[in-house]
Amino acid sequence: MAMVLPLACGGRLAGSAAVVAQEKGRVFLATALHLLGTSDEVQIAIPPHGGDITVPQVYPLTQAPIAAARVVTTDPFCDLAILEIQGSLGMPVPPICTDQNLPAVGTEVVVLGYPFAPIGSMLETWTPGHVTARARQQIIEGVLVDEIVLSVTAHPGASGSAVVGRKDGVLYGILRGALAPPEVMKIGNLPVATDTTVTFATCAAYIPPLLQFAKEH
Amino acid sequence: MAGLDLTGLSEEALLAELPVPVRQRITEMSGRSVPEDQIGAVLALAPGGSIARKGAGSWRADLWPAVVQELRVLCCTDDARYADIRDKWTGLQGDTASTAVAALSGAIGASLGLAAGVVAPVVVWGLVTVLRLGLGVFCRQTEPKKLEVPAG
Repeated sequence: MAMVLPLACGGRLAGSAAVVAQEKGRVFLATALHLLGTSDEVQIAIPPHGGDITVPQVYPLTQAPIAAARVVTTDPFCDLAILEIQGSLGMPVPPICTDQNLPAVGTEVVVLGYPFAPIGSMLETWTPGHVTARARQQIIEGVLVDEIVLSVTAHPGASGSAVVGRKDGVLYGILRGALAPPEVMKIGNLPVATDTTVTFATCAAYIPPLLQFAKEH
Repeated sequence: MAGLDLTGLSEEALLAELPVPVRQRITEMSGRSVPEDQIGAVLALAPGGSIARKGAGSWRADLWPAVVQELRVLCCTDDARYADIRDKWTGLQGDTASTAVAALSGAIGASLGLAAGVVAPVVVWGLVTVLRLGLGVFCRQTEPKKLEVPAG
């Protein structure tokens, strides 16, 4: 199963980041670029369960060890960022889907991430759902980005979550948003919920070339 | 001219500093004669460019004009903000495009309060734009507009 950790920007929890590669004391994580915003300080929190969703989690946590992360590269079209932290983590890295094994509509998936991270939650959840559509977001005429649409509700902090095949454990996508205007159900400036289950994830097939670039830089 | 001498930087070398998928999409748009300014705006706007967005959502939509203005300050003026990188520039020019891009992205990112990795694709495209236009034209085109107050 994928290992997902909380992402903090500017000293505040913002969302989730999925471990996508480890080598030679370097750990690479994929997350949603829009989370990084205007923060030049990016960190990964390492809660006591270490991203192992099978372990009981104590909550609420008021603090956790953190690792400084470097933004190695980004793909603004795909809303993806690759981060690097130093060290090693104890869990295996999931296989990443390629153009050849994109999930079909109806595929059972699970979303692993930290819903409500922006209000301080470091409770990781495993949320089952299905691929309800395969989409191609048109960024500009002629520039399309492959996405998968999921039947799960994306709460704030879910951005950057891993979308993993329930049967094969393949990383199919990185969750990036939901079909809902950000005005829906807010407390102050913080959107807290949406009534839609039309949730978008950027296809993970975009990650390997970014990872290759990251490893070389 | 005041500012930074970009001699030695080439468009090809700069684009090679981008991950393959980003480079491919820029090349596609460029091949269809999408104006440089529009490509920059798309690069900067993309994470917030659809209604499918929620969460922290603090991506700044004005990233492209902000980077263009910083490149103007860097390349067209002797503003003290970038004095350090101008001092080091001669040495960096002899190095790889990778080092130059890292240094410029770091400096511009720091000025805008953004991680170098976040701002790098937009900075690279900004530099390509400067090379395509020529430094003189870029500096003239990006001059701050004077506010004209009607007399009387």
